[in-house]
Amino acid sequence: MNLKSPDSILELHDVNVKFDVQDGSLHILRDVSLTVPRGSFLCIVGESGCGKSVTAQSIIQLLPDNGGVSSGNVYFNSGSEVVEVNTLEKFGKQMRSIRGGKIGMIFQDNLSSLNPAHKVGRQVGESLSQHTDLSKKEIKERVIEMFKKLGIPDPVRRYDAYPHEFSGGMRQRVMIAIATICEPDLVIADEPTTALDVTIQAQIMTLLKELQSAEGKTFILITHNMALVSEVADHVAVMYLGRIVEYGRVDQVLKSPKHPYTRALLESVPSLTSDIAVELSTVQGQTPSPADVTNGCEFAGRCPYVADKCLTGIIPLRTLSDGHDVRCIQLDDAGNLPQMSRAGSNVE
Amino acid sequence: MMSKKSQYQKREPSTLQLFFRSFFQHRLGILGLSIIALMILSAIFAVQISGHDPVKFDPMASRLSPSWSHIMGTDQLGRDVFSRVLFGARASIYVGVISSLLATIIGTFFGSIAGYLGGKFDTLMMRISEIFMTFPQLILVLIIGSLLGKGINNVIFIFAVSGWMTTFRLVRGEFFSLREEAFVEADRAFGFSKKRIIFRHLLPNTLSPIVVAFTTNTAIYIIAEAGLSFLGLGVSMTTPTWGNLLAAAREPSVVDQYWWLWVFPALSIMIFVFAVNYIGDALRDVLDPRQRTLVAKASRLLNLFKKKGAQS
Repeated sequence: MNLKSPDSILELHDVNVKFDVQDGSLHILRDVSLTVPRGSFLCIVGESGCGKSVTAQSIIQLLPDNGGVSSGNVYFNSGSEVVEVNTLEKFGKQMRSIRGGKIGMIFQDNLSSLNPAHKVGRQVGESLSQHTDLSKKEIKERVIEMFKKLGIPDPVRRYDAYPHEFSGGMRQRVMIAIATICEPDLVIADEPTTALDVTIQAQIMTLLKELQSAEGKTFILITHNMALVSEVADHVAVMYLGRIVEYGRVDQVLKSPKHPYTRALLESVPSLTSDIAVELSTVQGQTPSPADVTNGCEFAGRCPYVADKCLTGIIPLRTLSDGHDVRCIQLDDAGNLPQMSRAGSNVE
Repeated sequence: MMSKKSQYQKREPSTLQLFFRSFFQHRLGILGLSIIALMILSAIFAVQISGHDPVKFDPMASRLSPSWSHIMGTDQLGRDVFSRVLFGARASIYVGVISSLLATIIGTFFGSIAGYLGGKFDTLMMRISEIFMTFPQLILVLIIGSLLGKGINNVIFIFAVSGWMTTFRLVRGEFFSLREEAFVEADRAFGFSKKRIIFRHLLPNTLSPIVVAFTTNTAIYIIAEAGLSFLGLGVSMTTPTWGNLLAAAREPSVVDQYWWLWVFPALSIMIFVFAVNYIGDALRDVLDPRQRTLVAKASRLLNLFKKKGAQS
């Protein structure tokens, strides 16, 4: 219908999100466009406050009360039909059946995301009873089966345990169980491993990757952890201050980043093989407030390659010769940057 | 495999088991519970226990002081006071518990919806509750009493209508903070309806203050019933309640000459209210983890001082 590609499960067309605040409104998402092919694993990366989570919230229409999609469209392709999510009533029946039923959501803080007053098994099963007509016995069987599949030991007993009796890693598995028990086609994971230690992180990531490859689920992973991205992603979208600044296959973006922001971001990741004597570089300056950026490139204030033309007008997203998209007008078609205009300066 | 199994063999006690365990360690709570149980049982078996008809007149036995045949004496019409206190317990406890239950249900229902939704509905409910709070209860009683007559159920109706606001505000406040919890956001993301989030997910988390408020309200309503009936505004005089029995003490001669007519019903009210409050306190201690940790912290601190004192 309105989809750019029939294979995609989710498409965002120029989505803008604004938040009402005390003195006016904040423009949090600016013309975000995304095409997520069915069965792919997309990572959205960026620093805190860049709009990663807001993107996820706008997909399932759970923006805070003072926020809303001001323009643009979010299309969800359930396989049989294409729904324009942002036109549905926020808490209407159709929207609720999409949430949880067709789009699963995994949250960051797994302890506070589980209801402390209910048994874990019941919480997982509740998703099923909301979205299907299964009997209580069938639901319990499905939940225990799910626990087994996700590697929760002693699933029958664990069914009757409370959230506080679980370890962080196990709770995150429970969250994954809740998000996937209704077999949604699309799962959005909002920093699912931030609160976990590294070995558990790896386990959880492997689990998600398995769900993607074995069951053909589509994943959108929101993270600021570059190491995770290289392990699991097919595609990467880099966000900066509400805009997608670079989008491409994982090898393109991570191995040969083009946008100055992505370059700086990747250079600031420590590596085991890098020389200790070389000081780790950081992204210069501070992220400006979304209220302060009105014209030109959002990154211009911190960019070492900045030129006068960067400061006016809207910088378009353009496709380079190797096929990935970058929002930078200083690049030539091969993706090379000009000489640094103010290398090493600390100009804010 | 075997070792793994034995690891899980010792099952952790459930929350309910833990609750009962700590409740039964609470001495005052147990005392209160046994008194209440005893009084309710004797009210149920009032006919068998008293051996007298509470409404049978006996002009020959007017105003007898306590003796073996009438252990609490008789009133001016020769009715056995002990059996009247027992039958009065039926009515008084019924009024106290049912009014408190109704007020709690009304308050919880509106409080949870208003607290979760906020906005216009919340403002409306707050204004309504303020109107009820500022309206004098006694006048409400007079109005409803003259409209509906003096029945026991009318008294309950008045109590429920005029007493739901405290629970309403309590529950509303709890929901205000609970609705910001991350699990509520998660519930929304799983597509749960508002109804399910409010009543199945949030309500269980507010149950402990509600239960405590219920016990406190029961005590308050029993006293209120006694007060109203003493003034002759509550349950009609034909039904024995503790308040109606107390009303005998309106005559000065009764107060100084026939003490058994008012001391026993007054004692019953006092003991019952004490017992209910003990249960309320015990529930608060057991159900509120914050107070529990406070007590634990205090006792740990105390031990520390003791140790230090022993060392020096």
